[in-house]
Amino acid sequence: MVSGYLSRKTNEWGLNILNGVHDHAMEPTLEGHILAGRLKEDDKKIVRDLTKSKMLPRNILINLKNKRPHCMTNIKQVYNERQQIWKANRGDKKSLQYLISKLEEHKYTYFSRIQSESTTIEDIFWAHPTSVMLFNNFPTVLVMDSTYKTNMYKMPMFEVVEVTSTDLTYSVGFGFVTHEKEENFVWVLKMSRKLLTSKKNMPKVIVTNMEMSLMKTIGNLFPKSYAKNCYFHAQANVKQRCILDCKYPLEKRMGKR
Amino acid sequence: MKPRDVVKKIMRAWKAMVEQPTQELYANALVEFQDECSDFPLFLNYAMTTLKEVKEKIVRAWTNHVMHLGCKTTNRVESAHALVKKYLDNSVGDLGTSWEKIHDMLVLQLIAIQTTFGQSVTVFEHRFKDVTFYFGLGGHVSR
Repeated sequence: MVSGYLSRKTNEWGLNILNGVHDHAMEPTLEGHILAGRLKEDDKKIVRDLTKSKMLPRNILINLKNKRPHCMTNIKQVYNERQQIWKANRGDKKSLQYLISKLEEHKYTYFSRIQSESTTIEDIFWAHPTSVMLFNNFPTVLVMDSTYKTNMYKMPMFEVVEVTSTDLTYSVGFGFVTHEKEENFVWVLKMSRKLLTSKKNMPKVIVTNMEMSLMKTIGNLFPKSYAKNCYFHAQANVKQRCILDCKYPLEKRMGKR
Repeated sequence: MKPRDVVKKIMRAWKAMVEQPTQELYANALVEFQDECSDFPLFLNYAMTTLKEVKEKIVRAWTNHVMHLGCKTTNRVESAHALVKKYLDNSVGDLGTSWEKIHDMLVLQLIAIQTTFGQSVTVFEHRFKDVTFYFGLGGHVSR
């Protein structure tokens, strides 16, 4: 850092060297400096524990700041640490290998199917051991439906739920299928049927939405169960058609053009 | 009559028909519904085909004869989906992370269920408190 001056005697400009190494004054705070903001071993343990309980990075940082008001960690360091933890967790396993190792570790019942003529996975279905036990005890009303936007592969998630004696819902199994075709539903339902140990305990009622391929499959695979439809979905279909046919009849629509 | 009111009227007739408790009442309501739709043969045709296919599956007159524990709609599974999505946070995780989050959900869900089982045995309801007849059952018999 230098400062310039004008000499009165000689009327010439001169320079004073204030500091020969830095070009700025000393910073009052140390935020943003890698060494000052690094996570110490006990910080890393906190991050590890909180990440395990699915806490958001910003909440983890709040926790660190509350523990030590003067700590100079920023959000990026938390993200980096989480990435390290994630890597250490997975090792060199691929996503599916990791999934299967975890399913086996927690004694899940799982089934999978690969696409014919390739090694890509077509469908996968898993059930928690306690869920399976509950399913064998309360197989009265089975409710099933699929939902989208749950994973990066755009596979619909097919969920089967049941009702306990205390009127609570529990999930029997989760299936990830590539398509919502009859063939896929046949497979998933066959697998959920496998969870039942006794043939006497077949579900009495099965409730679904108005999905045609699913309704057909249920009729074939659970012949003794009473297949019911969601009357709300049926009503929605009718209403849609009603608006189309009665509110804007065909002659009117043709006339508008 | 406004087109909007036509739709409302027809849908009211449909709802009334679907919720009839007996088959005789349903038959009457069906005639009424057909009456309402008499101006719209296209729609009536669609409604009749739908009813023919899924009558036993949606009309209360039939569904009330089975033990459905109040599951008239797929609400239960829709709420389960909502719960899963709450745990998933985003829609772009791979199967490994999806499993981790679903597993966390299941752990809590199964604990909650186990709790209600425990409570059904241990908690003694107030309405039975003064009934000496049931006094010996508290803590021994589940509700």
